[in-house]
Amino acid sequence: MSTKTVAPALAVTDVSKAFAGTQALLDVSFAVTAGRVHALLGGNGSGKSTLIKILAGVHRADPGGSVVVNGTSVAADRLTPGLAREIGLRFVHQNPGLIRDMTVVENVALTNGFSRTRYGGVAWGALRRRTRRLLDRFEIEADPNQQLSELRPADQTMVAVARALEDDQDGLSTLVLDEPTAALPRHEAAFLLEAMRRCASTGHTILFVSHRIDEVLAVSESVTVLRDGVEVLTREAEGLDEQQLVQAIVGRSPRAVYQVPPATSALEACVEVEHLRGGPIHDVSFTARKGEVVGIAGLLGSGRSELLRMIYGAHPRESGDITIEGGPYQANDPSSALRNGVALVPEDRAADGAFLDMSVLENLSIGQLGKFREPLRFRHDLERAAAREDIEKFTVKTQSPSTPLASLSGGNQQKVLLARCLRSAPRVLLLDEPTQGIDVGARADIFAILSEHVARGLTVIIVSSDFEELARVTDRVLILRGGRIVADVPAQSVDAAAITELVYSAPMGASS
Amino acid sequence: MSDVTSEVANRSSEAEPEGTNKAPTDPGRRRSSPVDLLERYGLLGLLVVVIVVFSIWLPDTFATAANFRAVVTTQAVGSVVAMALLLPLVSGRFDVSIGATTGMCAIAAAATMSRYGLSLPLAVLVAVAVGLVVGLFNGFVVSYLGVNSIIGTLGTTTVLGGIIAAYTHGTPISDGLSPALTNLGTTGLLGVPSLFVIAMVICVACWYILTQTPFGRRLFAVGSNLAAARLTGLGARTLVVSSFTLAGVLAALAGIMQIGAQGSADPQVAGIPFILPSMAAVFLGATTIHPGRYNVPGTIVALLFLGTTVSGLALAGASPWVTDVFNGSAIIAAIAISAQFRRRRTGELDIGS
Repeated sequence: MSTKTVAPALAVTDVSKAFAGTQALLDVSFAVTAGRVHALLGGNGSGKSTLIKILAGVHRADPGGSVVVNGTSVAADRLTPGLAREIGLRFVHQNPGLIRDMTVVENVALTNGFSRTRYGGVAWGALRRRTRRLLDRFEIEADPNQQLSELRPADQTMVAVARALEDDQDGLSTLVLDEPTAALPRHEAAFLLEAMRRCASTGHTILFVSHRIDEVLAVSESVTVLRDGVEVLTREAEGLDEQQLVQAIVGRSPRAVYQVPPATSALEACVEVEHLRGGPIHDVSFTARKGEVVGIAGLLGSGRSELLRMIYGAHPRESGDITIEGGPYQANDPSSALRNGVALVPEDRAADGAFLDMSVLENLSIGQLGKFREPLRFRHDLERAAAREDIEKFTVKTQSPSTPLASLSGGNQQKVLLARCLRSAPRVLLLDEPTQGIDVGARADIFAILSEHVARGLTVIIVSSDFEELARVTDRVLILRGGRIVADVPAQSVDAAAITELVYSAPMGASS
Repeated sequence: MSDVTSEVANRSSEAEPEGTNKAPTDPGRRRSSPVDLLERYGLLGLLVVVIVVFSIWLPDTFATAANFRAVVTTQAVGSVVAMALLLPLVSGRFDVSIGATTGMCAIAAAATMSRYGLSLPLAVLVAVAVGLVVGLFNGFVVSYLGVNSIIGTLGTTTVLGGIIAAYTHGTPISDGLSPALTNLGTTGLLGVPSLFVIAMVICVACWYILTQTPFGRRLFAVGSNLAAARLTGLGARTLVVSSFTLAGVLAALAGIMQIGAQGSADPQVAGIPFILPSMAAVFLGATTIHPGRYNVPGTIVALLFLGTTVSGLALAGASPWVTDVFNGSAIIAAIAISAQFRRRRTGELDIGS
């Protein structure tokens, strides 16, 4: 496709990075040919994000490695955001930093500078012409004065790409595109990929980070795969198929998709979800039984969080039925979900779960205040006793029950939120990334307590991107892909690698 | 100040069973560190210092029973206004229409007695009804129409100001008012001015609502994290509406008390300047007694601190503008200090909204 020389536009050599004992990257080396789309692939924990952050100058690499961009060599441990830009690395991150209710011109000028008149005002005319040229160059169908939100989603991302490459007329820099399609619907993703290909054909080099193997194969000319911090494959994309790629990502040859009927089917059904639709969820049906722990694995954008929120009544549902222990369940808001015995521990603790400036005690009892209410007084003593009990049971490390939640560690905050949910004695507990950013000890505590409740009949549905954990703590794992459940496998027959494999390659529409 | 002591007593009785838990609580209990004590009782100490300094400086004018009675009487209406400001603030919203509502309700009560010749209880009822409707309206606009509370209630302020002007043509209503009400400013209960006694009863009721009922706790939760409050199923919209409605009722009570203090219903009362000292007290109060949280005892301490200082300065011969500069500075200082305390607790300093 490219008529340029085959000298590498970007060469990464022996880049390593250790975080507090874990080796995130070990001697990673690969080269990207100029004017090509080169895909960077890897599962969770493969070191892919770490590598991008090192290139962007956000993380410092360990001494010894080097990064060469267009002939300029820099020690990998000396990269800073400024230096990365100077040597010709450009980034469009997963959140591209666009402001949707500003115009295209304004979005471009915010990062690339406002043209000025000689009196110091903004030269809107010149700025518009400059932006028009930029839009033409990248074949983006938009008017400079249009609101960004009026553009189709793929074009919005292209505005971010164009603005990152505005000063690079000669295609000398390398653009790193981090999961640009994750938040896009499929047809928009296809449109964006086409635009990326055009961009590369004009001489730009693109390092494309993605989870979607079909996209990678469709758009990339070469591929690098990382696994456990090590570069395991770098080659031309031609002749590569999906199976080979999955094998490289997972680390062993693909197996047949397991569709063994789960062993727990004898148990009484607790949650039955039928043909649930809404937002990114296209058609989801599954049953979780009493005392069962069901895991949901899916990539970013698969609709995993939305599915939980929909069951909890915190995300609009278009159609579909849910029954709980045989009875119909119409949750239109969280309070009716809670009344029906459904509780949720949300993914974003600080934003959606914690009252950080309130005390541990207050955070624990906020959902069940009626318990401490007597006709004329509030039983602060009973409330405190209940808090002590939970603090002890969940081994929450806090100075006292009146300590503000903000001063606890993440793991301890999570224990408090979990304890709060369990106080309502739910029949179904929905956990969204319950152990994200939590240390090993707290994880163990959390699962020990959960298993006690599960033994007493609690049904738990866990969304997690830690597949190892899913394989270990659940009875069954549902694989969510493109808003559908594409596989349903008993946990004892899978490990993290098998889940990764399914998440990437289970055939779409297997259960719909 | 009865509720100050009961709150303090309450807190220390809570602290009692601390040792029973074998969890790591003992090393350096938060509340006993000198910094915490300073944070908690600093303003109370400052109030004592102000009283002592002015008493030594002005023994004949400041350190008299009459002056202290005058100070607490002046602060009586202010403290009820402060309570009205406090409730929406707890839920994270700001009702700046409290002043206008107070004025409106005072006019409504006075007109009921003066123009329609009805009794005092009926006048109180009318005023409370007006306050309730205004509060309900504010709450609806903020909670269900999604209007920013400051802007929305600023609109209400202006509308109410217009209605008051249209009805009174700027003339105070002073004829035909119930003497039981107009004498309220001069009577006393065991030497304590009646208005102050009434104000304290209202304050205790607010303290009770905020600390002794699930409603109060939920209101704090809504103010702390709206998204989390919703996901916890707390009924955030209803809570916000209730806080504004209660604020309207409290403003009505303040309006009736204002007639008692002034002997007439003054259309000039209705506005933002009228609530500024109370606003300063609410924010300053949030830095003390229960630092980092809007609280009733702290608000009363702050109100007495501001009132005493202003009275002392006036008696010492300071010009009237000093009061405005002092109250205004107190608001800014109080909010800045709260923000710093909040940062100490949550580790973040937000850009002010």
